[in-house]
This record gives sequence, C-alpha cells and structure tokens, in this order.
Amino acid sequence: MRIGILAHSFSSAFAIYQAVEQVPGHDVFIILGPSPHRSTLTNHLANLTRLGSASLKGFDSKPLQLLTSGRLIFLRHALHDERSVATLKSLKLDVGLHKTGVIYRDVTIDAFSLGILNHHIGILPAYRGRSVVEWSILQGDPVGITVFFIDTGIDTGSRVLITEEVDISGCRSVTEAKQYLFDLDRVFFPKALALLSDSKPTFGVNDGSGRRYFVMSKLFQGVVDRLLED
Amino acid sequence: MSTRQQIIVNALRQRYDEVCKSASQVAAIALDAQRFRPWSPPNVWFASFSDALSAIRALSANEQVECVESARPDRPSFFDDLQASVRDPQRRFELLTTRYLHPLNIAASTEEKVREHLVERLMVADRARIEQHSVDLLNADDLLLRLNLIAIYASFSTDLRYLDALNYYYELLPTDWHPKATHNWLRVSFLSFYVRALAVHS
Repeated sequence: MRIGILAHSFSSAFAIYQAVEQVPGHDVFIILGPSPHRSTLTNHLANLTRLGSASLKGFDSKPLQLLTSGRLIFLRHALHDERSVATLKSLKLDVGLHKTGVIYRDVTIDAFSLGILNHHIGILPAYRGRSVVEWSILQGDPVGITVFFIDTGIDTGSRVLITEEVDISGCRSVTEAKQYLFDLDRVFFPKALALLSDSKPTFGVNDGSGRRYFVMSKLFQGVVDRLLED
Repeated sequence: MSTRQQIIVNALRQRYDEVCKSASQVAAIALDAQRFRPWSPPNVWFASFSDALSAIRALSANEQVECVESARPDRPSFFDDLQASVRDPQRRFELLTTRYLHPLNIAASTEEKVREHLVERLMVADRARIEQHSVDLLNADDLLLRLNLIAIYASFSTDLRYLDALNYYYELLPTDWHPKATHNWLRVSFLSFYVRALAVHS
C-alpha cells in the first residue's frame, strides 16, 4: 500500500512515519503542506531545521534519506490547490494519514484511492468537533479513539475502521490526557492500515447521530480538571 | 447527586454569583433567581401580541409575556434564508426578529436546526473573528440578539453546549465593551437570561 502522511510539521509526521514504515508492504511518503498560520517559506525553513535536528539528535540518517529519496515532499500551495492535487495524484497514493489542521476538500480526498484516515481523539458518532475529550469527561462518558475515513465535514466521514475506549486515569490534567491520546496515532494508524490490508475490511458506521461540540469555556475546563483530579 | 454533578453545580453557582454582580455593574439591575417567573416550554408555537424585541425586553425584566398556542408560521424557506444571510447580519436580525415574535418559540422542538446553526456560528466563525480581531467587527445587534435567543433556550435544555456557549461569551466579551448597537439593552437582557439559565442548571 502507498501511504502519504499529510502534515504541516516534519516532527509530527516523522513520528508517524517511524511507526508505519515498520509494517511490511507499505511505501510511505511524508507530504508537508503550508501551515495556515505561517508563510510557506517560514514553514519550510522550520521543517528543514526540524529535519536536521531529528537527524542529529538520534544520529539517525533516516530523515535525510527521506529528503534525498524523494519521500519527503514540500507542497508550496494549499492542499486543495490544483498544483498540490497534481503532485498528490502523481504519487499514486492509496491512503492518506491526516495530521494537518485543515478541513479537506473533495479534490484532495479523491487524490487517494481509498481516502484519508483521521485519528480522532473522541468516540464517534457521539463526539464530533472540538474539545471532545473535555466534553466526554464532563458528561461522564468514555474517552477514546476513532479512526475513520474523513469527508469534507467536521468528523462526519461515515466509514469507521477503529473505535476503542482508552483509559486516561493515569493522566493528571486534560492537557496531559490530550497529548497522550494524540500520541496514540503511532499506535492506531498502523492498526488501521493492518485492517485495511485485509482483503475485505469491515467498517463501522458514523451515522451522524451525535452532536458537534465546540471549544469549551474556562469555567467548564476548570470543572473537567477538577473531575480528572478526583 | 453524583460527585461529577456536584462539581458542575458548584462551578455554576459560583458563576451565577459572579454574573449577578457584573450585571449590577453594567446596568444597575438586581437579578434574583428566586423571583424568576416560570416559563412554559413551547410544546407547539406561541402567538405574539407584540414585536420580538419588546417581548425579549419584557421576558428579561421578568415581566409576563402571554403564551397562547397558535399555528407555526408557514415559511419553508426560513432556514435556507437564515443560512444565506451569514454575511448579512442586518438581514439575519430581521429574519430572526420576524420569526421569533414570541422569543420562547426558539425552544420549540421544530427549531432544532435553527438553534444548531445559531450556536455553531457563534462558537466557530464569530468566536474566531472576535479572538483573532475584535468584537467591534461584528454587528452588535445581530450578535446580541443571537446570544439572547441561545440564552433563552439554555434554560429549557439539558444540552450543556448551549449553556457553555453563554459561559464562553461571558468570558470572551470585554467587560468594558460598549457595543455600537441600536439596541444596547440586549447586552443586559443577555445577562439576565444567562443568570436564569445558570440558576436552572444549578
């Protein structure tokens, strides 16, 4: 399977790359798109710095090999731009792994033969949108991960590959719990790709029956921190 | 009551005291949950004998607004028109004040799509604009009217997202904000409805 990790930052993409490339039979690329919060040049320079420091830090030649082998691709334009879409299509990718902060348009999603997978830190269909970890804790519901194929909506993609509750009782704050859940992408993306490699993968359904959640107020964030402490 | 519920209630009670104090500073009004007149949930549709703004003002001042059941207005294009008016706040203000002549109708079961649309606009696009730029970029009458409607609904609903939208805006709007609005009193009515919602949930 040909896999493209879509990210703004080399560091976050490389962590997933290391987990995914160990699974035999995968051809993995890192595709770095421009950040919505930085100029393209600044973003590229920051990523090259990260790449250099990743190489030096672990005496690891892999980051540089990625660059020289053409497996690290820098996009100069937004992911929906026709020039970026043409680049994605030329790579003949099967699956995208979402690690950017953007909502995709159909043209980008369609550049992957199977689609783009999202590692969502909430249980779907119940918890869509923002601050879903906080909202789950506030309402006394389980916290967990859903890996699903995204569409152009906010966590509305209907094909779900994995839904799994995660124990966060070891986390002392919401920030810690969220980081722990985000970092599990290194575990859940390879799991999802293994399921996809089956000849007939089965999908759960995200039927849109849940609610879309929004950023939480400071008042309720305080409540959630208190609930975690207890 | 579970520990979880108790922690939530304690936080809401603390916020209730804070908002009452801040409302008295904004408009020299005293809010007292004990004296709130109970509202009837609109199981169908309430007829109105006045305009929307007068009714909002009366409800926020804890005055009686007659609740007589009637037929829902037959305007199938309302939701599409509302969605189409996202960049035309004056039009949206007009649409909302025409439909919700009786403001409690926002809580009718038929209005779910409208409420979701209103809370989403408030918590996504408008919130981002205020946080990244300034509240003064928004049409204050339109913003305050929508906050009032969501605040009215929050008293009826167990869905905490609505109450939290009020929490969020209470924290977001500058305390020294002087809205450039035709109906400045909508800020005071918002605080009154917010206090009522806090009282209901705590």
